Amino acid sequence: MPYELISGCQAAAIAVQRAGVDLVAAYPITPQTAIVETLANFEAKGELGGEFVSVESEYSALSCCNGAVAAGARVFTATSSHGLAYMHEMIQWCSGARFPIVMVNVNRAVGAPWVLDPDQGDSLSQRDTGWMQIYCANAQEVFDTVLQAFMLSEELLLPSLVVFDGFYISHTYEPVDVPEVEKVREFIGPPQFQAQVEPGVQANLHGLSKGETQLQLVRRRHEDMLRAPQVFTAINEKFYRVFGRSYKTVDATIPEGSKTAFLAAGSTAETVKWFLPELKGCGLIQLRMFRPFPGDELGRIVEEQGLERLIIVDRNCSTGTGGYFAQEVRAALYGLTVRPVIQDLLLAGGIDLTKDILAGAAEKSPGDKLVDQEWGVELK
Amino acid sequence: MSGKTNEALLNYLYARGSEASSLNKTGGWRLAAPEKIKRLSPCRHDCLLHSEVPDWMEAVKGGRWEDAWQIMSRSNPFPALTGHVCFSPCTENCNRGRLDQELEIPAVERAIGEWRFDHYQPRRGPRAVKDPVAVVGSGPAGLSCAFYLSDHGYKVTVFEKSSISGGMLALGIPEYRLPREVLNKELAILEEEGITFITNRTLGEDLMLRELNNDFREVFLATGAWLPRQEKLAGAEHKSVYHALDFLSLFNTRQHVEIKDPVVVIGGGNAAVDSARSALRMNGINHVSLIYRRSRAEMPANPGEVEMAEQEGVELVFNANPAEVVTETASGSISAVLFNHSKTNREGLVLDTSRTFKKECGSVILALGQEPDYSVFDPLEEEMSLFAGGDLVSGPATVPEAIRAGRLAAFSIMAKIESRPGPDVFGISEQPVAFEELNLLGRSDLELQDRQKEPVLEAGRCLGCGTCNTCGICYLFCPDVAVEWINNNYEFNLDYCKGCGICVTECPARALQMEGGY
Repeated sequence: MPYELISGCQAAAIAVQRAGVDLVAAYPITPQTAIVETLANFEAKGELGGEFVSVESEYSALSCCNGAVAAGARVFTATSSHGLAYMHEMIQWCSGARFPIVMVNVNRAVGAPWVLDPDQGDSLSQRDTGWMQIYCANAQEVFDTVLQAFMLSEELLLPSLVVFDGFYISHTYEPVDVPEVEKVREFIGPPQFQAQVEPGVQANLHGLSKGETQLQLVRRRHEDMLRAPQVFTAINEKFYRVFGRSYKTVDATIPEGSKTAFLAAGSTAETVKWFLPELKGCGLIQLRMFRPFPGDELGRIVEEQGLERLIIVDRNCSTGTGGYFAQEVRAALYGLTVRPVIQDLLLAGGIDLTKDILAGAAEKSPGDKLVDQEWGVELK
Repeated sequence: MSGKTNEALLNYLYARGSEASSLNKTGGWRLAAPEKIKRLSPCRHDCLLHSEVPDWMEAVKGGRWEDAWQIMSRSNPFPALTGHVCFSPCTENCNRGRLDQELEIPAVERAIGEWRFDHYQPRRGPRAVKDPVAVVGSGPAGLSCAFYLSDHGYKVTVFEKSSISGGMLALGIPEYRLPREVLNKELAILEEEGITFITNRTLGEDLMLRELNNDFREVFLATGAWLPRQEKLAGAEHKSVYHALDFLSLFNTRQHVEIKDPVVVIGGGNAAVDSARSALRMNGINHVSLIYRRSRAEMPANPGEVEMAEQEGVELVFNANPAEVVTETASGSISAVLFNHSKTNREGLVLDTSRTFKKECGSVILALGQEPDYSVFDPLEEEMSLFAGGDLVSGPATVPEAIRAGRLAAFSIMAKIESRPGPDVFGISEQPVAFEELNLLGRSDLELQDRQKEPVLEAGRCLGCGTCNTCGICYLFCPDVAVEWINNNYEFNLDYCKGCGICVTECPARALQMEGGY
């Protein structure tokens, strides 16, 4: 196995190079910068295999991708935090236009004030923009998910956001299995989707439409995105046969007899997993896919394991409501006959998830007075 | 817009199609609007009939021959004829000529006439139901008048002095310039349309104005200008001295002409050139001289025809005024013509009788001009209602001018009968569209630089100066959906026109303007 010691950012960039793209348009921003640098290096060495467009802003980066993907190109971009926020208008446009774009977002808090720590609010605040969102827990997942995201997007004609934490993943070096270019390209193949613009064909695209038209288009987009878990599963079955790894939309590690589980996405899942042996009576549910939200699969796990309490690790906060993941889990499990107690462990600002915080949250037994929201900063 | 969703659009997962722009009626922003205009093209300006050349070119380009004929016949009912005999001033200032080569307008004109011959269908519905009108003279003026009257339902009778109809077309113009088959087809169609032709009737002899006035509601006189201008020329009374029109009539009706080689034709007009070229085509005639009293530049004849005559071998002699036809005393036949040197100065023609020369010849054709014969109208009575036109009024002119006169007469007659105001005499004061005004940069359809044999292709070379020729530049440039393709035409839908004026700026033919200006 050709393992390489690389960072999460490098894993993402190498995956893009392995997949083979026609165009990359991106603007550097901490902590995503290493992705742009690595891709630029590929371009400088003539190994990118596509165009690398230097742009003056994130807005232009995604606009440039929009144009290329309309012409049938496979495109990639990456950003973080304020860069993602700056793209917001184009982000919505992509999904409405059904552009199968793959973008990496490296989580970083959105100001004010200027913060570099890996709050997930940047990507989570884009949850309603019609992009699929997949959260990665380590560099290998980053590499594999970027590859799979091209297939997922091009199959469903919907854009994908591949998300991982700044620094914990972006800047941490891990051994990653990096397959050869030929092997990856044979697996993924060239883009198969229909170009929207073609030479010689006059077409008016994405122009002013009636509300009735938009209703139909939104409905189609919604129904298509609901197929994502099924397509994701199929891609992973094939992926497993070639690369020996596969992923689920929601993964569970529940020790025998555990009635409490932490639910985490991104690097926090990896942290919880590391400490599980020391957190007696607790299991882990790792949420990979966030959009579409795999509520059915989550409910099945909760019911099968008879989980009575879920501690949701939210390194984010939707001000006025609480953590995004907790909101989503509450909504998803509302239909269960016996619903678990849901506690929201709030780590907004991107603070470090320590063993003490995890233990402090777990120690609150169902007999204690439970509160909906535990602020991680107080559990230290 | 209706509330219905665009089904076609939903074949896609995304919004695609023109529904988009059609929702936003940007017309409300407009302060000025483009409008189609028709500006004068050089060809129409120069055409003796002011024919709408760019319009029928456009129809031919699209293969819409019926439309082409309808447009053509508004000003010229006989394109097959004029396509042969007209000297085509229309081509002289054709703007296409500035780009590569001017359009061969007469060829397309002929093609429309020939299309009509092949596709003529007798008009349905009542024919010759309105008042009877007499036309005296079956030349181009008479035929044109008869056509328009008949076209409007009048019962028309055409009287002709000769044994065959056509006037100057049958008798004056040589067959090499106008194949008789073309004339015969025109005449056949006119008969089919319900016009009655009566030949061998001479005004003042067996056709009297009083009777015509009694028998017909109105009378149009188009007897032409056939009377040879009388010039004092000694010896000209000899029987072998022909007047040009007499000679041409005999020649054109294949009658015997007593003519001997070599032939001297005296004159500088079209009749002189026609006579010279015709004489050269006769058996036993090997040498024809065309002798004119002024210089070549002063010849009233069409220069192209003069060149053709020269190429065929007609000897051209200038600045020679005839003094006497010399007859050989013994045989009584013509032997020569004596000429004086002559030239034009400010006072007119000046003869130099000291410089003479003798041109030996067997026959002489005098083409010194002709004029209308007014004597046939005696007696004219005050209460008679008469219309007149063609050469009879204008003096010797061209076929298209006669056609125009006949048309004007027809509409004047109809206006009188129907108690309407008479037609405006079509006059042109506007300046034609200049080549420099055209905006040809954006046009991608200019690749055919040479003249094309195929009329449809040749018509496609027309730049449409001042007339929309559906090049589609306005449609292409309109940033909204204000230009629509409807019934083979680009039309404005002002609901969507912001009034930006881009179409006006870009129109290659200059057929658009902003209403109210910018």
